[in-house]
Amino acid sequence: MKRLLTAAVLILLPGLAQAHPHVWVDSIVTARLENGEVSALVEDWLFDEDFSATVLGDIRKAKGIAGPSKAPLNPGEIAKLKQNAFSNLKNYDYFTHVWLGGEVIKIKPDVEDFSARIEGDQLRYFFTVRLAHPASLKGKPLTVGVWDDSYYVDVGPVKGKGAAIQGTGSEACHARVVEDKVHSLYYGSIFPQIAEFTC
Amino acid sequence: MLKRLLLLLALLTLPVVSAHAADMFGKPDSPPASAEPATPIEQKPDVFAPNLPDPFRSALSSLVEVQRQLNTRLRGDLRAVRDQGGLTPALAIITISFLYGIFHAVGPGHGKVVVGSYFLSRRSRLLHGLAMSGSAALVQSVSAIILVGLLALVLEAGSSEIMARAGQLEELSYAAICGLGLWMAWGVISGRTCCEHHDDEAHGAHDAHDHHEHDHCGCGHDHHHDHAHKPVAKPQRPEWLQVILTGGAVGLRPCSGAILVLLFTLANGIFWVGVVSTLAMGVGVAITVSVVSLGMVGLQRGLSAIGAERTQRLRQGLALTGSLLITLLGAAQLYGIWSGLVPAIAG
Repeated sequence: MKRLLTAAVLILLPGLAQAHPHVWVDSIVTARLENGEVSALVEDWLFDEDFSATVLGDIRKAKGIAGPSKAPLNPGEIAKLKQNAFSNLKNYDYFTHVWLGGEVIKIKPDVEDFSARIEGDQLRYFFTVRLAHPASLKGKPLTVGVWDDSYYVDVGPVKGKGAAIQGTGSEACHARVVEDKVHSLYYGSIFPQIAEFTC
Repeated sequence: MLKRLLLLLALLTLPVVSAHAADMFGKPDSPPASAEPATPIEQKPDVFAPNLPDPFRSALSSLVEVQRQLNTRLRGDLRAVRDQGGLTPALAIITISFLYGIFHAVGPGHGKVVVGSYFLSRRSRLLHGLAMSGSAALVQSVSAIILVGLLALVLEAGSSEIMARAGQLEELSYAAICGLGLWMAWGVISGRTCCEHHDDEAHGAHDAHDHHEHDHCGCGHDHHHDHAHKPVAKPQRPEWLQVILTGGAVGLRPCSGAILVLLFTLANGIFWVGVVSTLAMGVGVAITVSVVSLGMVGLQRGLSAIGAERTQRLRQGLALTGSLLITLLGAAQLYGIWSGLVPAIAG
């Protein structure tokens, strides 16, 4: 019965369609090279002003006309931010999709080094996603797409510097942003911009 | 209208009962039932929908791009009003919000399927089309303004509570659409609201009836049939009520884009700018949805002109199908939310 209902909902999905996106993120993905293999991805997300104001308003409990102050975030606020507006993304792989030569690479469920800061009107997150197994880039490109399958959030690489690679031996490697024409989003209409790393 | 507003206000004071409230990223705050929480990453299949065929794909992606640019400009102008004040950025905000509303509503969502089904399945006045689109857009703007104004400004609630309440309104909207669909179906079955008799086949049956009982049908063209006995032109209350209520039910679900703009302006002490912006967006949305509804009214007339619905029975059948489709849409969206398949308030 449940399966039948689910099927019915999926069939009616064009009617359920919703107008998106509503949150915008400028991202930078940096691959970290250790012993010639990529072990982790350092992500940098810069949120739009609306989202930032909304989330900060909740953290600072400053509502109404006053609005949240622009003072730097303290560790308690960062922890709260993580709990309120980040941790649930665990169930969505932190929007991070990784492939090595076209094969899906799993990531570890918990991120490391989560931190956040306020820059003007915008909120910025930094965190490190660990690959389940280090990936050797010999002959195979590593591609990393950061996107929300439902397209509520539109994550796009910062123009000109959305991808980078660091670590010992990274001089021989290249990072660039390419268009992914396979994994289209939003009813098959949007080709996400993804980071591609080659050595 | 007043009654509905009171109902809305009453609803906002109830505790949050939504099965799956959305988090800040429009995601259910508990993982979907199908996912294994312990190992979500292992479960993930690498399967994606096929690309749209090209004219549509590039059209939809340019639509998204236009919206992104308008949104960036809107945020810039909102900051300008906050930092410098002045009339120029305020006027820019109104213009951009209006354009944003038009383009935003072209994309999926905004009740166009419900509105379209209604007008495709029955004869209607053009005014009905405008009224339904207008009431949907107006209620949608006003519900977002009341939601944010009341919860954030008066009750000092946080954004997550506002989103949860918006999710409740969304559920209420779908339940109302579902109920209205059933009511429409009943109207068709009982002969109250649909399908007047201007064709030969229905004649015999109808002449036997008291005519006045049937003139409520309001499908909008009672005047061009040449019966010997002209029906008395009565105000078509059931049809109008249905049109306005359906628009209202569709609009009850606030647009999270408007909520975010309202929250931003509230946090920056320029809430009135957010209110004006939301209303301007509503006018834009009304225009787009009107185009859809008028298009469907026209298409329906075109189809009936070429004889696609020759008989009373066929017309009734079509109107009944439309009503039930609307019921089904409401029910499916409710089920989608309750089962966690679709997060509440993600549009």
